[in-house]
Amino acid sequence: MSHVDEGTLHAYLDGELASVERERVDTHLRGCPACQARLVEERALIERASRLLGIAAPPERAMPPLQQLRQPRLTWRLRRPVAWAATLILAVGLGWYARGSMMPSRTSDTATPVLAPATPSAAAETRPGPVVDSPAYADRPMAHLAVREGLSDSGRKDRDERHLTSAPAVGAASNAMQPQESTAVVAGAVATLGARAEQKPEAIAQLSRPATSDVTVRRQAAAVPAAAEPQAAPPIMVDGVPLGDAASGVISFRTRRATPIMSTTWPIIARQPARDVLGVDPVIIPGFAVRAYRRNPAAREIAVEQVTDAGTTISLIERVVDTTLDELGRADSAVVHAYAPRAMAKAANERLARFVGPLRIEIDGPLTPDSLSSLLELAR
Amino acid sequence: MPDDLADVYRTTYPALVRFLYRKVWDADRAEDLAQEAFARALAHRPDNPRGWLFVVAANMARDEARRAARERRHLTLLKSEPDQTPSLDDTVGEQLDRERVRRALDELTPRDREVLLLWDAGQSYDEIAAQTGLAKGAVGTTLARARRRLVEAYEKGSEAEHVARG
Repeated sequence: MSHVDEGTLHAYLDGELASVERERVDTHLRGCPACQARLVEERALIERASRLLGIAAPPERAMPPLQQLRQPRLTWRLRRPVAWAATLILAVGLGWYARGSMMPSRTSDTATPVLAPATPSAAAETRPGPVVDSPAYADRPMAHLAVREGLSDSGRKDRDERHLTSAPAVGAASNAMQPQESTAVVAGAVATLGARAEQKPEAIAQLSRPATSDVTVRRQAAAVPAAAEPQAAPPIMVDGVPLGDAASGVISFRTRRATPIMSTTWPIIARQPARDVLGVDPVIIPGFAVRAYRRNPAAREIAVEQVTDAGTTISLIERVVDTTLDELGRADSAVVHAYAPRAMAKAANERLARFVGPLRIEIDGPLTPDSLSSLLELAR
Repeated sequence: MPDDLADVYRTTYPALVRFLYRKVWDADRAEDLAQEAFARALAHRPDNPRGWLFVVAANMARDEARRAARERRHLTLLKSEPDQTPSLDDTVGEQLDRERVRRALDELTPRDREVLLLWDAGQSYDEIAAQTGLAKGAVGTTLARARRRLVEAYEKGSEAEHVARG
């Protein structure tokens, strides 16, 4: 047998050779003084390297109990890279919450709709006036104030966790929802309100107090201990599932991941009805074939399914934004997000969300960076 | 499965901290990242928790290093003190030695360093091969080279210091 090579000697000394190989090395070493000498050298080298690494070892400290780690111990530094994601999630979460607050029976069940779609005639019969003139509207300056506070706080370093996530979220939301197409969409939203009020009389009563701005103010106030109220902040809902823990401001990504978007199960409708639902033409990514328009049976929400050349399906979901958000003076345009359906999503945890102007693009599934950038470019 | 992970935690946590410490050179930070990795493992329940943890830890440390590098670029003009704040219970000699080892490790190629650190954190050749993409047969060779270069770089660094001191 030829001499034992260096790598094999190290594997031998590390106890990582299979028994057959080890025996072969043993046999060779017995008859080869040169390799024996090398073995001694390599053993010394291994010990020396190991001692050096020992110098550069961390101090030994007690391990925290494993159970304690179930509460993700995210530190500020670690949080920053995901801050943008949390920002987007909260921004959307707030929108969904606002939606829920108008229809209490639906807050926990979007996937299985309770309400039938509102008809335009029902909307026409109820008076849209009170919505605009309601006390909620009078409270707008206050809501604005809360938003401003949140924004200025976001620059402060000593903010607590709530500030960390909620304040930038407010910023992002106001950023992302620049007034656009306001006439059509707000008109649509008012009609929605009227229709919902018809079906749920107590919704009117709810509207008489500033549902969404109330939430915002409360969240803001809780962040400032002096103004804290004993009332706990309500959970933020996304697709009917509570999103993290609103009281601590901690976002649970696991909860979020377990929340599939259900648009693939919505009934397919024609283009014109889809247009009627939104009040404007549905947004379409140019260059891709439209496979279907789908309508959320529970809301004024349209999904446009398009297929890329590679066969990935992208859904652009566009919905009429509620006027409760408008009370905060920011939600004047439709929100859109796109994603590849879960069937395509090999890495379902690799969800990506970006704001492109007023549109929300959400991609759930495999998409190469090139495709993503071109998609974003198209959306622009 | 939960018991499984509890076992892995007991046996692997110190090794993971050790592994991370040689990457971030901050004991608190290394512990934070190790705990974060386990918190993620609790959520994901990977099939092979040990291997998974080291992959996740390596990724986190890499992200951390990139971020640190980015911040350093902005701060170069502002700071003159070394990156890490030495803890109080260290003697000056220990700090010097650690700094020398750190510099020596920095001289290794990324792959050699990774293999060496994984081995030192108790990973087997099989596990190292799986994580780094090396053939199992190449792990011994890589380790041999990494160990030799570490020792040489350390000794060269020490000599240079002696020369510099006169």
